[in-house]
Amino acid sequence: MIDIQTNKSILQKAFLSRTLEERLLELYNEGKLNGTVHTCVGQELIGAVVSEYMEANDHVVSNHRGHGHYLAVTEDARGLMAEVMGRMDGCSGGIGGSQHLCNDRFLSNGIQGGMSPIATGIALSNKLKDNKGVSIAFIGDGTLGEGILYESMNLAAIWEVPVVIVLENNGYAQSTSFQQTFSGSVAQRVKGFGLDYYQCDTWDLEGLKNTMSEAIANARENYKPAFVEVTTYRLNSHSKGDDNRHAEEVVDYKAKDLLNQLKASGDDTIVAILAEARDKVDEAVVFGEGSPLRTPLTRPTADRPVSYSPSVGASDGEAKRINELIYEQLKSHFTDDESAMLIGEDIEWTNEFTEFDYGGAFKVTRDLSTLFKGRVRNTPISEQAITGIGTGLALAGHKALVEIMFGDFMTLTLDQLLQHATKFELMFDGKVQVPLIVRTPMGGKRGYGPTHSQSLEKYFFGIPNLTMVALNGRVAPGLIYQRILSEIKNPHLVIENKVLYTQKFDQDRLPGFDYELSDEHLPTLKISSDDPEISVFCYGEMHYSAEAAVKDLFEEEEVVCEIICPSQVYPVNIEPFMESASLTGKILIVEEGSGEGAWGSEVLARLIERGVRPDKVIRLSNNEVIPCSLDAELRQIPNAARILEALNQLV
Amino acid sequence: MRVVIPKESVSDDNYKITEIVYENGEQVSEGDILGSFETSKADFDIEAEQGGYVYTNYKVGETISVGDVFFFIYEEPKPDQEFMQQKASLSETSSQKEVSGASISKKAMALIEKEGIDPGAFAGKKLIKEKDVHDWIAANKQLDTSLLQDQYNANDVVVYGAGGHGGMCIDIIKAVGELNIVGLLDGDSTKKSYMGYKVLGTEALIPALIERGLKKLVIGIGFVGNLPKRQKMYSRMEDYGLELPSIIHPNALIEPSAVLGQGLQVMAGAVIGSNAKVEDNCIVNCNSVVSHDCIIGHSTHITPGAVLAGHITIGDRCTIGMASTAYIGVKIADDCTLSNGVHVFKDLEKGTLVNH
Repeated sequence: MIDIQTNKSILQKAFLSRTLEERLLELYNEGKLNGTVHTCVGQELIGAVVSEYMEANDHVVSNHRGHGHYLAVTEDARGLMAEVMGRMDGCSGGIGGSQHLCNDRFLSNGIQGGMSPIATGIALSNKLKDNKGVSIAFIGDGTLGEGILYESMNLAAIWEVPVVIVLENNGYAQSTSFQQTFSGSVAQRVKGFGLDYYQCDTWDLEGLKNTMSEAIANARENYKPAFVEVTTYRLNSHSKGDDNRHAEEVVDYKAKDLLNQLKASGDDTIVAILAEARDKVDEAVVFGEGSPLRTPLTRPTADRPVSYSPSVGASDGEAKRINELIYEQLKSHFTDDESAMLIGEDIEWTNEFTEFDYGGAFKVTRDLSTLFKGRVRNTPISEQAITGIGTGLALAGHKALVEIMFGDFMTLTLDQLLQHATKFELMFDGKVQVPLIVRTPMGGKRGYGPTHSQSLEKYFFGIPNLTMVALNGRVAPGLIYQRILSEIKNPHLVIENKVLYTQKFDQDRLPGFDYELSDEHLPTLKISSDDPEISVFCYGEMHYSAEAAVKDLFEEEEVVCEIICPSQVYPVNIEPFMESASLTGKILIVEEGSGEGAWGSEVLARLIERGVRPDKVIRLSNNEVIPCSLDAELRQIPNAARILEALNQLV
Repeated sequence: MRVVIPKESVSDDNYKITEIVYENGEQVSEGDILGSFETSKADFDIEAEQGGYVYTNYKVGETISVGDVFFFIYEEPKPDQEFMQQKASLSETSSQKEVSGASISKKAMALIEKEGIDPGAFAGKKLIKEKDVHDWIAANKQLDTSLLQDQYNANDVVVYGAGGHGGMCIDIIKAVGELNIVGLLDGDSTKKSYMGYKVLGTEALIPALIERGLKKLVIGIGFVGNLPKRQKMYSRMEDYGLELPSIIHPNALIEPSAVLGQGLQVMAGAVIGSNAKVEDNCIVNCNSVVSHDCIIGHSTHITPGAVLAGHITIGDRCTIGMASTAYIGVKIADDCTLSNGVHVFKDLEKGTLVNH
C-alpha cells in the first residue's frame, strides 16, 4: 500500500488534477465550456512524480493532454481554469486554451511531436549555460508515429543534451490501438538512437519515483538524454464522448487506478486532500468566471509612409561578394553576442573528421565554426528538427540562427515555423518570444533542376508573426542582418539568393537614374529618374534583370521606368507601392517564383483597396516546375528580355 | 593554340583576372604559369600546355567568362587572325560614346553622332532624349559661315528658296537690275546651288548675314496651299529686321494710279488696273488681271491667268486659282480658295473653298 504521508505532495498534485478535470467535464456538460478537453484522468501520477524532481532551471513541454502536467509543475489551478474558459486572465490569455498552456517553465502545444525538438533546443541551451537545467518533454504512444521525434532524439544524443522524454504509453492513440501504430520495441528504438531507456508504470508508485529520479538526475549530472516509457491508462475517452475501447477493459483499469483506490479507502489524509482540491477548484471556477472573456485578436498594420535618401553605394572596401558580406556580419554578431548560435547542414569549416575546409554549401559560414567553437554546428539532414532546436534556443534567450541549405528544403520547416515558432508569442499572449532567424538561399538560374532552384516564398507569405525578408543586390546584407539582429523579437525568414551570393555588392548602376533607400527599418530600394511612366515592382535578385530591361527601354523608346524593390517581403508596407503606382498608373510585377496567390497578388489587391486604378498591369512570374536544362530555365524564369517585352506592352 | 577558361566553379560563369605574367610576344615554356583568375570560391592559375609566344587581349582586373580564350600561344611571335578578331570585338563593346552619369537614348545618340556634337555638352543631365538634343542644336549649333562675304552692300539681296518660285524671283531681280543677288537660302541642306547661285545655308544663317550688313531678302517660296505659313515667314523676316523689297517684272503692266504694298511679287504679263490696291506680301502671277478699284489683302496669291473684275475686294491669305474669275463687286473674305477655273458671282465668307 502507498505511504500516503511520504507521498503527500505527489498525491496533492495528482488529486488536484483529477478534481479539476472532473469539474471540467461537468462544466462541459453544463454547456459552460467550448473546445477540446483531453483529460489525463488515470495518468496524473506521472506529472506529479516528475515535478518532484524538478529544479530551478528545468523546463517542461507537453501536449494536448497536458492539464495534469501543468498543474503538477505550476499548481496554477486558477490560470488553467480561466484558460479553458477562454478568459483574459487564463494562463495563455484565453487564446491558447486547453492544448496550449503557458507558464514560467511550461509550454504545451497540440501538434504531436512538435515540441520534441524545442525541448532539445532548450536542453542544448542549458548545456551551453552549464546551469544544470533539464528539459522534459511529455509525449504519448501516438507521438511515436511522428518522424520529428526521432530527428530530435538523434540530435539530443549526438549533442549529449539533458533532455528527458517521458512517454505516457496508454495503449491508444485517439481511437487507434498501439498494436496498429507501432512496430518493434520501444526500448530498441530508443537505445538505437543512443539514449538511455527507462521503464515504469503508474500502478507502482515507488518504481515510478525511482525511475524518474534516476533518469532526471542522470540527465542533469551527466548530460545523458533519457527516454522514460511509463505504461499507463487513460480512464476517460480521448476527448469527449469518443471512447471506442472495450468497456470491460476500461472498468478493469478504473478499479486498478491508484487514486480511485485511495479515494475508496476513506483515509483521512486523502479525504482532506480531496477537500482541499475541491476548494481550490471551486475557487478557480469563481476566478475564471469573474475574468473577462477574451477579446478578438488584431494585428497592427505595417503600412507607413516612407521617405527616400540617396543610396551611397559600395565604397571600395565594400566591393565584396554578397556571401562575404553576410559572413562578415555574422562574424561581427558572434563576436558581440556570446549567446549567438548557428546550426545547419555542412556549415562547419574543418573539424576532427575532415581534412579540407568547407564552410557551407555556398561558402557563407566559412570559418565561423573554428572561430566560435561549439556555437556553429553541423547537423544531420533534419530540417524540421533544425528549426525546432533553433526555436528552443530562441525561447531560452539566444538569438538563434538556423541555416536551411536550399530554400527548396524549407517545406520541411513549415510546421515548426507556422505551428510553433511564430505562434507561441501569439497564442501565449505575448508571454514568450522567439527571436529565431532562418536563413536560406532561394532562386534558380544555375541549372540545378526542379528541387534545387525554387523560390518558395509564397508558402510562407502571410504567416502571422513571421517577418520575411529578401536580400537584394543593392541593400547591404550587413545592414539588413545588423538591423534584424539588433531588435529581433519575432521569427524572421531571410531569403538569400544563390546567384547573388557570388556577385559583387551594388554592381554597375544605370547612369542617369537615382538609387535611393527608404527610411524603413529594412529599407526599400527605389531606382528612378525624371518623369517615370511605368512602375516595376520586384524583390530579391529580380531587380538586376529589371534594371537591364529598364535601361533598354529608355534607350529604345525614351520611356523612364521606376523600380521599387523592398527588403521586407512580408508584412507588406504598401505605401512605397502606392506612391509609385499613383504616379505612373502602369504596373509591372516581376517575381522569380510562382505569382499565383503570392506577393505580387497581395500588393495589387492592396493597391486596389486603397483606390489606385492602374491603366495597365502585367505580372511576370514562373508558375511551373523548373526544368534542369539551363537554357529552358533561363527563359522560363523572368529575364531581362521578357521584362522588356512586358514594358513595351505597357508603354 | 588557344588557352580557354575552364568552368572551375559550379556557382559562377564569370571570373576576375588577377594576374597576367607575360607581355604580348614573350616566349614561354610548357608548364609556365601565364596568369591567374579568381572565382567566388578560390583562385586558379592558368598554365601553358606547350611552349611558344604568348598573347592576350585581356588586362588585370577585367572580367572573363567560361569558354573565352584567355591566352593564345603561337609558334612564331606573330598573332593570327583569330587574335585580331577577338581584339576587335572586345574593343567594340566598350567604344560607344558616353556621357558620364547619364543615360542616352539611341535616337539621341544617333542625332549626336550625325551632328557631330561633343557629348560633353550634355554633362550634368541625367537622361538625354532626342528632344534634348534638338533643343541643344537650336540653342547652340555652330553655323557654317564659310560661304558668307565679310560685308554686304545696301542693294545686296538674298533669295530664300532654291527652287521653282525662287527661280522666277531670280529672273525678275536680274531683269530689273537694281538688286544684286549674293546667294540663296534653303531649309534643305543638301541643296548646294541653283541657277548659278550658291545656297549659303539655312534660315539659321540670317542673323549672321545681317551682322555682315545684309538688308534685303526676297521670299522665293510660293507656299501653295499654305498661305498662313507664307504670312508667318514674312513676319519672321520683318522681325529679323530685314527689308522685303517688291520685285516687279519689267513686262508687268501696272497703272500709275494703283497703290502697291511692300514685298510684292508681280510676274510677267500681270495687269494691275487703275486705283487698284494690293497689300503686302502678295503674289500677282503671270497673266493675271486685277481690274480697276480692286482691293487685295495681304499674303494673297492671284495665280496665273486668274481674272478679277473691277471693284472686287479680296481678303488676306486667299488663293485665286488659275483661270478662275470673279464678278464685278464680289467680296471675298480672308482665307478663301478658288480652285482652278471656277467662276465666282457671289460674296464668299471667310475660309470658303470654291470647287466645281
